[in-house]
Amino acid sequence: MENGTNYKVRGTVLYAFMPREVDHHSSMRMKDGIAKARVSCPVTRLVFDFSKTDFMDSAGVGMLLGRYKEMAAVGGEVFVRNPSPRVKRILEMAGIYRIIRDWDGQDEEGSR
Amino acid sequence: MGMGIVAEERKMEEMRSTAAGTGQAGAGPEEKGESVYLEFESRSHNEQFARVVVAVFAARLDPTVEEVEDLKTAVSEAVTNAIIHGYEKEAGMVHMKLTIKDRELSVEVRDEGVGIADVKKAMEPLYTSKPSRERSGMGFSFMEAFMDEVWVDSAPGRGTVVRMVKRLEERPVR
Ligand SMILES: Nc1ncnc2c1ncn2[C@@H]1O[C@H](COP(=O)(O)OP(=O)(O)O)[C@@H](O)[C@H]1O
Ligand SMILES: [Mg+2]
Repeated sequence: MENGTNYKVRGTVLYAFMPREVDHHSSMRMKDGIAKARVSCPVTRLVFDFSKTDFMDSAGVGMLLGRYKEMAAVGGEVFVRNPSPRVKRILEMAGIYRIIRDWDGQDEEGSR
Repeated sequence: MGMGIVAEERKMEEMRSTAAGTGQAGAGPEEKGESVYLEFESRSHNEQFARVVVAVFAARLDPTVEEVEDLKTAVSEAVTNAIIHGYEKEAGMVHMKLTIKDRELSVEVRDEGVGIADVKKAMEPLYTSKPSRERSGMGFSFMEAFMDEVWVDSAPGRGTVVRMVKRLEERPVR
């Protein structure tokens, strides 16, 4: 089953390509995956790409908030890209857009 | 849960074609409807299993895409709580019962875990007993937002039962 996260670094931007379902199970793995990717290079911006994601619950929200705090602590920023209407609704209900912005598209080299 | 023999036979017939879980005779004279009941180990990959089961069970009501998403989210929250909070100290079994009555779908998620001392406080938006574990404290808020009714019955050392009801939109007869 395809439910893993892929990572890609471009300069100091880290792209996390989110799995199909972002729940407690997959979020625990992402936390580790992002920590590893950040050790291997200095990341100033973290972009969560939701192109493949059709499910997210409050565990995913907790994971995003956790990464936001880590990035904010070192003056970095966090973005979301391409959320489905459902994921967008969850993000809105959780108030995520108050602290995390939409990645606005100057990211051609980040797409796979 | 008591039930009449005649009703049971009819329901058993229907349950043989049930894709999800093990059928349990859940319909009685006072409580019409049909149910599936299943139990699974408190492992995090079973969160996905529980979501698939509720989606398959709900399919017989011809729900909207949004209704299915709402049910999956609410089930995911309740089951995740049973796994990470209820069975935080010791693994155990999570019990899930789904019932359809007319266009009403009820979900019961039960654990025999640590239980909750102050249910009212636990259900407050953003409250979490585990901020260090990256919990958002939005689980109960999501359940309440996506279901029509949510009840929680819990006591320390006695486990937790979450009951939720969603009334699905009427669909035109085809
Ligand atoms: N099944 C359960 N067993 C024990 N405690 C629970 C259970 N479900 C919820 N809780 C308690 O209620 C709190 C709030 O739950 P929730 O709103 O889902 O937030 P979160 O899971 O992010 O902490 C939890 O932090 C936990 O203390
Ligand atoms: Mg929760």
